[in-house]
Amino acid sequence: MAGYLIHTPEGLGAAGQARAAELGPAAVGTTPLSDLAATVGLSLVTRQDVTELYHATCEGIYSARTLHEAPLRAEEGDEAYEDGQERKAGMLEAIREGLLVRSLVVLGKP
Amino acid sequence: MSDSPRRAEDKEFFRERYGRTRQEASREVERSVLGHDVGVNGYTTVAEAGALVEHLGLSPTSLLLDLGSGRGWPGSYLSRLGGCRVVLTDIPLEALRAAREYVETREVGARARIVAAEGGALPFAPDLFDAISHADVFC
Repeated sequence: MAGYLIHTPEGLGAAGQARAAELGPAAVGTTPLSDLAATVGLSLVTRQDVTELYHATCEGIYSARTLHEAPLRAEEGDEAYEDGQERKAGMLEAIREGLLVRSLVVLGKP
Repeated sequence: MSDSPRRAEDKEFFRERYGRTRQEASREVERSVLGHDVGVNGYTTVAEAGALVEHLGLSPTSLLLDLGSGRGWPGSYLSRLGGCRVVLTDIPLEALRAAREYVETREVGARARIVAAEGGALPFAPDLFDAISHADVFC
């Protein structure tokens, strides 16, 4: 099993978790990766931090959406467009504060 | 068991988002940043998706389960690169309808099956799949 997860770093306190949940995507992972693996009967094989690229991608999306603001407002509606930009800005803030990380996680049979 | 208010809100968010007809502007945003224009909610670039092929050990004899496929990403791409069969799963029917159209245009239609299913209650036999992929789903 392999894929990409957005989650909070291990050891983040309750206040940080709450702020990550507020600024992050719909459901930010807060469970330690090893525990997450155990819930599906697998073990953690490798974890690669890809937060730097995640930040660059998020920033790229925000910038590109700013560049295409007019047609995107026409496509999505003003409220959805502004909400989308606000979400991206919040996510970028959370990444910069160290509240959100993204990992390539590979799980295997124990 | 009924959804929590937050979960119900999230489901409605994705239903609305996947049900929206995408125009050229949103496609261009995705192409310029992610390298594709599938219409995703995540941050997985084409290069990142490609890296999964090796980690998953995909081959033409593999059967891959892609969780939270949305409109077909990255599962359909992994099927194209690895030559494997793929089962794409997600909850919003709006996304799965788009996924069906997407796989047909990407020539993996014959190798793809699309199932409405939630990750926590999958309707498959244990050990059916050779590999499982996901991208920005378990967040």
